[in-house]
Amino acid sequence: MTGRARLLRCYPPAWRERYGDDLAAYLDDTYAGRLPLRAASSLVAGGVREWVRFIRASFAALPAAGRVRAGALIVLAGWAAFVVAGSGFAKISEHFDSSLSARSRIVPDIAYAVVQDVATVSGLIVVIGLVLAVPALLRLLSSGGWPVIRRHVMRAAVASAVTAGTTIAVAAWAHQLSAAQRNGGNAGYAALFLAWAGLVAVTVALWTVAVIGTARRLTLPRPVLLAEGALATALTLGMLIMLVAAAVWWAAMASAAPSFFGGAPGIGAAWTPQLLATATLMVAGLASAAVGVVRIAQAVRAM
Amino acid sequence: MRRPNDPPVLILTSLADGPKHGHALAKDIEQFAGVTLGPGALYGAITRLEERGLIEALPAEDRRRPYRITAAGSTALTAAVAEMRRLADVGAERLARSVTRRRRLA
Repeated sequence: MTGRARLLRCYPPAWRERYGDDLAAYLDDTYAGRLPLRAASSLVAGGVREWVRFIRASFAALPAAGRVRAGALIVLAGWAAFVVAGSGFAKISEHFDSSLSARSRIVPDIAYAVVQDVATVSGLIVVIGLVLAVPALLRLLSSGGWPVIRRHVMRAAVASAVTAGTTIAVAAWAHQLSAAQRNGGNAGYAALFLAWAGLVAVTVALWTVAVIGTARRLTLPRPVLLAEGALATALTLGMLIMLVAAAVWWAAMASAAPSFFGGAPGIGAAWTPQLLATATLMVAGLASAAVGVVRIAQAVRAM
Repeated sequence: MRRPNDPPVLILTSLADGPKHGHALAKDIEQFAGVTLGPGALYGAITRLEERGLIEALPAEDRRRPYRITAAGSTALTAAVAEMRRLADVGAERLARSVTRRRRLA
């Protein structure tokens, strides 16, 4: 696939069907050879705009019940991003207690406990949401729905098996290493750990896609839909609390034990790349969930 | 469609002269307005204008699809041009008054 064809894939399929050939001809007529960066970025921005419009239009075309479900699924996607970010946070904050004196430990300890407790409650909320959808899932399966969802589920299951195998390998290796070797001292272990983290992220993403692909095909009764909407709202609130608590933990650590982040003293030096990536993912997950909650609220009002 | 350099206004202005495909449109706009539209902005505006029924696509020639302004597009462009002319008139009038005031003060 050429660079131009790849850029055209930034647009939704329906849009490409209508304007794709014309736009490709325009690009051929206007730019000989390699596309200038400005034209490429204009195409990417245009593609994102068309996707946003497409999603909005698809959302608006749904009945109110469908919009509640779609809103809850947006929250679920945001939560999945938060789970991946949460794994990053767990790694970053490993053994943070040992860097603190008894006195300076109070605020980070409380903030960390809040993150952990709310993460547990959030996990339970997701489980309750899934359990509520089980009767509708069984109805889908009994009416011959398995072939429709099989590809997504099988892909996620295979990714889970690979991740489980890698987890065992990582854990076995980790037991033979010292703390210093586990934290960047051994290049081979660091590479395997990174690969494992990537696998975890892919597995979470694939399960999220599988759940969304399945949930879209379920017929949920109104009370279940309303309950899913309420659970999604509670989940978003939990994500907000976790984000605030994580920020408090980071600020307290940066102030009491800046050396924990490996940099020089000072708040600025406490921004490590891992922390930045984790924070970005958390904020993106929360923003996505907030969009979902707004959609749910609008749809419930219209029900 | 308020500002004269809005892509929809530029496209309607270009098509008021006759149907054109994407490349000819972009060249024409560059010539009469000095504005270079990126491919994303050009086709985004074409999409919007077509959805609103202000332009329509003609049968494709090779892969290139010419577009032409519709009656609704002509009406919208007439309104936009009138609005811009009104703003230009107000601006010119106020500028003239301020020049007169400055001359009096000098």
